[in-house]
Amino acid sequence: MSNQPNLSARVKRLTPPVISALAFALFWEDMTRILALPSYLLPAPSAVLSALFETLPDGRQMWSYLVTATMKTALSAFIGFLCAGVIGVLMGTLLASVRLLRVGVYPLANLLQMVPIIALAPLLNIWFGYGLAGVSAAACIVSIFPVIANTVDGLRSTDPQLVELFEVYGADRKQRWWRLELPAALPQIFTGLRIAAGLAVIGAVVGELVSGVLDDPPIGAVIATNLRTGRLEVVFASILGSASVGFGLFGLVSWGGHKALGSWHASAQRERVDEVATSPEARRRERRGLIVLAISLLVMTAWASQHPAQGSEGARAQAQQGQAEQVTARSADGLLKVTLQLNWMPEPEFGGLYAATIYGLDREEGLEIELINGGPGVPSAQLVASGKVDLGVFGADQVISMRAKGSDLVALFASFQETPRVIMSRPSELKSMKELWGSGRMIAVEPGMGFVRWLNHSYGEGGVKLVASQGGLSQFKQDPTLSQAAFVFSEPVTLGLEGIDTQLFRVSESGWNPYAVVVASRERYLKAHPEVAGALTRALRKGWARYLADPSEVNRHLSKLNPSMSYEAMQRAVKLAEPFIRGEAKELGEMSVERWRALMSQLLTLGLIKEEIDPSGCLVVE
Amino acid sequence: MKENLGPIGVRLREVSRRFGAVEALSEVSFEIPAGSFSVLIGPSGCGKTTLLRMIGALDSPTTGAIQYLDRDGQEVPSEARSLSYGFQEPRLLPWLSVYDNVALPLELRGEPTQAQRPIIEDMLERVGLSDALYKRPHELSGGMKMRAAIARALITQPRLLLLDEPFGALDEITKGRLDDELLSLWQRLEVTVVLVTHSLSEAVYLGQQVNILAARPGRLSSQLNVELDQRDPSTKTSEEFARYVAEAHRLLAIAELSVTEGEVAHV
Repeated sequence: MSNQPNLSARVKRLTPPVISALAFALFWEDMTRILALPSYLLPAPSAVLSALFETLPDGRQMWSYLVTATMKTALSAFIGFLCAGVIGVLMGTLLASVRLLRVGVYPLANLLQMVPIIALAPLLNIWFGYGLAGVSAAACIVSIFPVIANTVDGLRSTDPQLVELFEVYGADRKQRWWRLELPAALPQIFTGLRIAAGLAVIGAVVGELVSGVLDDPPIGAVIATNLRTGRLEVVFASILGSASVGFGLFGLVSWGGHKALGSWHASAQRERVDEVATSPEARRRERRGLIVLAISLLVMTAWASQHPAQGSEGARAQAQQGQAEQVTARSADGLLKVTLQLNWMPEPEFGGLYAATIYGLDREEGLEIELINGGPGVPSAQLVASGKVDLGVFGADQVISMRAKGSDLVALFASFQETPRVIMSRPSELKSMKELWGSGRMIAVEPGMGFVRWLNHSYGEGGVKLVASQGGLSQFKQDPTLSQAAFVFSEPVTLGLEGIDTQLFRVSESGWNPYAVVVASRERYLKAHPEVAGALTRALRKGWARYLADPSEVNRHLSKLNPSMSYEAMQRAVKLAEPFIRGEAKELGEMSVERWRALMSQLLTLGLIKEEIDPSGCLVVE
Repeated sequence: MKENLGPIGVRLREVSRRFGAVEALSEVSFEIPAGSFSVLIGPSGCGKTTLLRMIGALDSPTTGAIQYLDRDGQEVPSEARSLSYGFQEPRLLPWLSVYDNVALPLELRGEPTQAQRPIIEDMLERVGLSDALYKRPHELSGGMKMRAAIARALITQPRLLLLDEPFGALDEITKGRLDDELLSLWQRLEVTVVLVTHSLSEAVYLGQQVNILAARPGRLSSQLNVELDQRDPSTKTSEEFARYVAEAHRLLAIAELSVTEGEVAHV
């Protein structure tokens, strides 16, 4: 009797899920068209598909880039899974056999499944090394618990009747273990391994998300990069890539289990039961339901096909018209409430913004600004573009790349005339950014930053090893060979106060100099609230002037909001920041179309935008 | 392979077994002759399984003694006893084939199973499983599983075979057929069989010595020696057989009545 399903049976079993997946993709496509969702909110399957065949600046196609990334993730996940499998089974065996450990240690092993791996991942890189080792460790930690638990349960639940049988035949401890307890536990051990296979992939991707190597990025780093630049179609394609790793690993374990267990495995029998035909009535009902579903999907698709596809000219035009902007309620005293999303924790880079709210300068202009704290990975540009907040703070490059994708972001105020970005390292013999970029050092940067690509473009790629950073300082403090991207007035100041000297390399040296800490909104919002642009500019200008004159009161407030940066550090930071804030401009916050044009052509060169846009649309000219 | 040294009998001397405050068996004394086919029968709770487990050394008496004697009445030391036990359930290892399940006791003894192959195949043929050597337990019917379990119990050539209601879960027809097979195996092999059952006709059909137990506390109520001229399916319709069954019935009724002995005595 053969238990191997033949080919046609396998095709039969795979058909329903494949059809469901296709139907779901069609439904998704229809919804994005009918609701006119832009790709930076929810990419349509067609947009994901066409992104796969996009040509990258290095001449490769996106799909081949993603396949490379997927293979890299697959390797980390596989190594992590192997570690979890071997260590998990050994630990489970130990816990099952030694009562004292089972009582004392097993309850603690439960903690393993509650480890917030995203918090631990950066440390894993310090302990085990960047890239493969650290990511595999994350995969192992996330996936090990089900292996331990199922091994313990499996070994502990040997049928007592069979144990008695072995007693009758005089089996010793060793025989009982190898001939009875272990084989009896195998199905459950494989259940644990199957669960671990899926978890290992999640662990690997999360590990890569916070600390993957950026030079030849694995899936997690691709996701981090494209989340930041708002290319959600690439994010979704990457999710498909990681899902295929999960399926592959799961399939491998299931196949191994089938080989190892043969046909006695109870679940093999259960599957057969599932396939037993239902009653004719139930089948008729099933068929009727399917027909209704198919027809409604067809009707919906027909309707959706009259709407323009995502990313097409028509969709862009529709997005520009938009629905009528809701006019925000005013507060009791007639002030207009506006929300402003920051992209980092409260620190002196937002000093002028806080000054405007603390001193009531916004109220003088008829506004009531609510500042919303940011932090690592906060997608402030997407939040503004989707209308979740009225205003947001991000870089000038993000304004341009989002506009290129059909959003109507528009810049109002540039807090920093000169980009405050630097690369910091321990003091070295290197003299310029150019030398640093060819030094072969390891540099931690936030994924997806345009300046990194410009540095690569200007000084050549491969001269340094790039790893992802979440902006914290623990990596830098631990590892004296690490260089890290920083803001001139933030990280180096904190480190200086702790007695760690840094050497700073200015990014603007390379010619990359976008406005920074730009406050931006949407055209639609500004059309509905025409008074905001002028009022906001005046309020922020006054705020920054007051802050630069005497930052102590605001800094005291900021250090309360953000205890990770001391008051002294903030005071020092303002001194360092002032030249970057003022720059060469006559007025605080002012912008010129020429500089926007220069940045736009740099982004075009890097392939970060596909076609030219009108730079004068990026900003509100007073 | 060890030579079978002939069947061994059992002598029970005032065997008692307590489980906490409950007296499961009280001073049971009787003898099972070497080479016989004996049956233990009685109402539920009379301790027949407990008694069988003690004979099989899976449990030990609280007080009293169990002796094992060969045909000449010599006591057999524990290492030469060669007991085998058949449970109510087949207890086959689900991941092993029928062949490997039957070979298991030899393997656990450390005997090379390859050399034993003809013996194992012969045993499987005797229980009618020649066609199912490489099937796994879940592919077998209930009767086939039980046959495999009996084959496993006999593969070590035991001198004493203890069976605890082995066919209790099977239908009447299958059970009847297996009874006949068991009988013919016993006749051909040098083995004493002690069988626990709750079927009177099975007890009379199989047992030369039917031990009827009473409950609360468990004790021997009576013994019935069955002397049938022949035992084959036609026996079951004979008048003689019917008489034995009726007698067993009467003895069992007495055993059941004596549950409340004190009161009955005064009626």
